[in-house]
Amino acid sequence: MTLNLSAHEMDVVERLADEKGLSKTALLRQALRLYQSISARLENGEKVFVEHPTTKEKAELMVLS
Amino acid sequence: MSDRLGTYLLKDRRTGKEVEATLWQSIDDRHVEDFAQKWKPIFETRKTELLKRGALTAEIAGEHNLQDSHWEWMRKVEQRRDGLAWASFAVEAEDVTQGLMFVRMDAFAREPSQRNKPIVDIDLVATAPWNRFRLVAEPQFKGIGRLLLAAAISLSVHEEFNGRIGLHALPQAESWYRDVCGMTDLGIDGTGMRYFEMTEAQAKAFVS
Repeated sequence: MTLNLSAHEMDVVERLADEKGLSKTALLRQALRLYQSISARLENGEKVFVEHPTTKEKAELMVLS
Repeated sequence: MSDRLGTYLLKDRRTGKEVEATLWQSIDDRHVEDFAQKWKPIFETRKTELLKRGALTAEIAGEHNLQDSHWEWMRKVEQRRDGLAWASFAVEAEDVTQGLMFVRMDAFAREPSQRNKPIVDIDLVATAPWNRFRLVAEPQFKGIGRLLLAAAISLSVHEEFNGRIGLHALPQAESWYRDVCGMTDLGIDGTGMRYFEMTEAQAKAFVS
């Protein structure tokens, strides 16, 4: 499989791979796991939130599945 | 389908001899059948005995090493079969399942030196009831927990997570993770359980 990414997308992949200490392949595998995991929860009718560390304000995470 | 990862030696405390054990990735039908047919009856027998003496609280279940007896391994295997984030392991010896473990690979570290780096998070880990102190008079195999923890570290290395792992400990296992395994105790979190993490250096020390 060939993955076609824009220069900007490729920059993001490289930056995240560097931050996480992963190769680009490992990063994309990790991204796929997270995407599948969140999609499965949303398909089950669950809601996925991110919480602000101090205000505890919650924002619903929207993923198009 | 399970892949055979290797064979290892476990000490049988009852005979003093070493017995060959096989480590499998992933949990197969025969492993959950062993849980249902061989582990669960021992748990239920002990629970019935304890209930005759009074209420079976979480504290009493912990004292008798029964805290995880309600875990539904078969249902978990069904639910997680297609999830890319999940991996599972089983240990067999003497043709019986001696240990089971589920881990997830979509978690991130909290320990300050490795915060937000990916880790292998141990979701469930259990040894067969006949290997447990306080549950049986003479526990059989030693080393199941260590072997499964090493499997989680090995997976972490394979996934480029450098051996980093994390877990929430049942109260009776806290000192083992902290004092024997050398994991960092990050305190009780929102789950009400104590959370531990192993750094790359701690993982190297554990497996060496």
